[in-house]
Amino acid sequence: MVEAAIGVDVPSAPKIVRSASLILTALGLFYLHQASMMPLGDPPGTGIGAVPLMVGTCWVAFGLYVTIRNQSGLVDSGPWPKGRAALRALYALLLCVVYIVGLPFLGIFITTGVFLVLMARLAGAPSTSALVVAVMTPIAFWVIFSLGLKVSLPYGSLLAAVLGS
Amino acid sequence: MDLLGQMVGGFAVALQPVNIGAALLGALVGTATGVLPGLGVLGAMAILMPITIHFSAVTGLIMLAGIYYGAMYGGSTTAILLRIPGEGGSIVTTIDGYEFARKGRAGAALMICAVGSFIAGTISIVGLSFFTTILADVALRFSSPEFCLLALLGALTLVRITGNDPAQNTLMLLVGVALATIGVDAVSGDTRFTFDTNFLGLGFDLVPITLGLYGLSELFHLLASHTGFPRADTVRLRDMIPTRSEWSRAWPAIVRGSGIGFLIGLLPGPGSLTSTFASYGVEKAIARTHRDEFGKGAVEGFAGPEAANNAVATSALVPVLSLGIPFTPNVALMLGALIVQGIQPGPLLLSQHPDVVWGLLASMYIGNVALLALNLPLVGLWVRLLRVPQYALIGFIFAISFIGVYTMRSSYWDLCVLVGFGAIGAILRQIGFDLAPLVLGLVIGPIFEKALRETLFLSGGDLSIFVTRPISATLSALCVVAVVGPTLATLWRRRAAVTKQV
Repeated sequence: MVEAAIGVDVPSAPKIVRSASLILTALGLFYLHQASMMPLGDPPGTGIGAVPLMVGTCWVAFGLYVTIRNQSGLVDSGPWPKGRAALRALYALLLCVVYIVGLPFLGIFITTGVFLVLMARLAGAPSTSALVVAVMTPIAFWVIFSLGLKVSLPYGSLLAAVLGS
Repeated sequence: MDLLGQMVGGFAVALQPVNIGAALLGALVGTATGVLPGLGVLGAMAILMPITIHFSAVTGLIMLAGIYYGAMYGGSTTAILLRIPGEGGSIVTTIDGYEFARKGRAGAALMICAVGSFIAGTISIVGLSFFTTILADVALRFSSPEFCLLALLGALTLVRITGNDPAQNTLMLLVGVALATIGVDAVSGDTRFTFDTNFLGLGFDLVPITLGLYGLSELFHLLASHTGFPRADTVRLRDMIPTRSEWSRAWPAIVRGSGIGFLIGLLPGPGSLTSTFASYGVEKAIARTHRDEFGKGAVEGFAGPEAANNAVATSALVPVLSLGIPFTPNVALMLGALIVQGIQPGPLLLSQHPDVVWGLLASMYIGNVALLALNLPLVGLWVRLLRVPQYALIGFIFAISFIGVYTMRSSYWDLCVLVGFGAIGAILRQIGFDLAPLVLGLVIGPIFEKALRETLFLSGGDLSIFVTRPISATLSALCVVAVVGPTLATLWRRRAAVTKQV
């Protein structure tokens, strides 16, 4: 927990690191393939494809090295969240996706309010507290961003349609 | 005299009410986020950076600087009271600071840290003013090859020193550089890797990626662990006065730590952690009468490292302000803020935007006084902050991250990047990949590419330009040292150990 809280990385389990670097290497290969189709410029190295080609080559080389090397010195990075803990993290991710999808239609206030209620409940808040947080926070944001910083916030097509009619 | 005149001009900018307010608010919010375990300096800066962009360049930068050194200070509070470092640079403080607090002297430890941070900040701001001017003059002799090599040196030093594995770090750095190449090419204006889509044409902005990797990923981790913030005992103001003996032991350590921190901050690499360990090592090595106290609550064991940590925060700005090249992710974010404001960092920054540079430097004096004035009376508030229900903070941070990122470019693509990198960051951190090289790669990549292509235009594709010019040759040699130096040092230590055993 302390290591995670301070952002210090503990040594990793070899298998997981290998799998991750294999995925990264595959992405690197795709990047390299795309870069190889770009011009290198004249003199060589001055075109838009030169640095991507160099970076892509190094990416694949280091990716392969991390994937295939002997990592016997590394130890486990700690337990992955399982069961309800993993579901909580996944549910939070899903809420974030719903927020992005809902924002253009429902606007900043409704989307943020609904998001905060669900997120607060997910984090263990009692219903009343969750509602208070969900109402107060969008108001605070409106004061800070709209009134204070004069920033245009997305009010959503739903509100526009309601006001338009 | 010229320096003094410029500093007076800087104070004229910094003392404008809006800029004083920005410094105070930045220091306050930075301390609050630094106190909370988890987010760290980079997370705090990334969350609040979108808000600073809505101000003028100098005001936004002053606020961001306040957040930066406020978070550095805030980290020490949790390190002393809870033995949890709010950010990486406070790890050393958890050793002796916490033990000192356990003797019933938590208040005194916080006071020593606050005053130490103030002294270190003041010393390094004076140093920063001198070094920035000197280095900016020297940097005027730099051309594309030198900037290309400087960017390479910064990247190489970071990947060789931070984290546990240089190969993994290099991989992360390359991914960061690759991400920076997506979108519009800054040199030719052509697009790359966009697959005829508008959103990829926008590219990957620094803020949503950094905020995702350091902010959202931490929130996902908190939700998965469901542990909550630990509780700390209240510290009363009257318990904060150190004894005469504690002071007499603390101040020399603070001065030494300030010097060590300032010098290490000038170098490429992760200054914060390195300087605190260096300061701790020096204090332990020179201690004569209290050596056995180290690890059990020695005043020097936290006064020196805390001063070093704060001195680094300031001196790390020297390469950014004078060369336009960041050596750490924290200052890379400040560089990103400058670029977003339409200001091109580099050797000409000082002559083209003296109000920004000198205003920032002068504001740091004000911010430093503000930190001292705020942190001592408000120590009880910082302790109480740890008692705010986690659900309120988590939801608030998520929501302010979304709104902040959206208001930067009014782009839903940036929100997708934010959430995507939040998930990727959570996974990579769990696996054990260091994320700092990725962020640095994203900032240093475009600087490196532009300089490399200009160099090759200049030389007609001849790479010998990197070793035929004196400054380039020196920087090339330093790059080689950065790559092979740590390996040679390890081999030398192993050989020495074997020889000793024999």
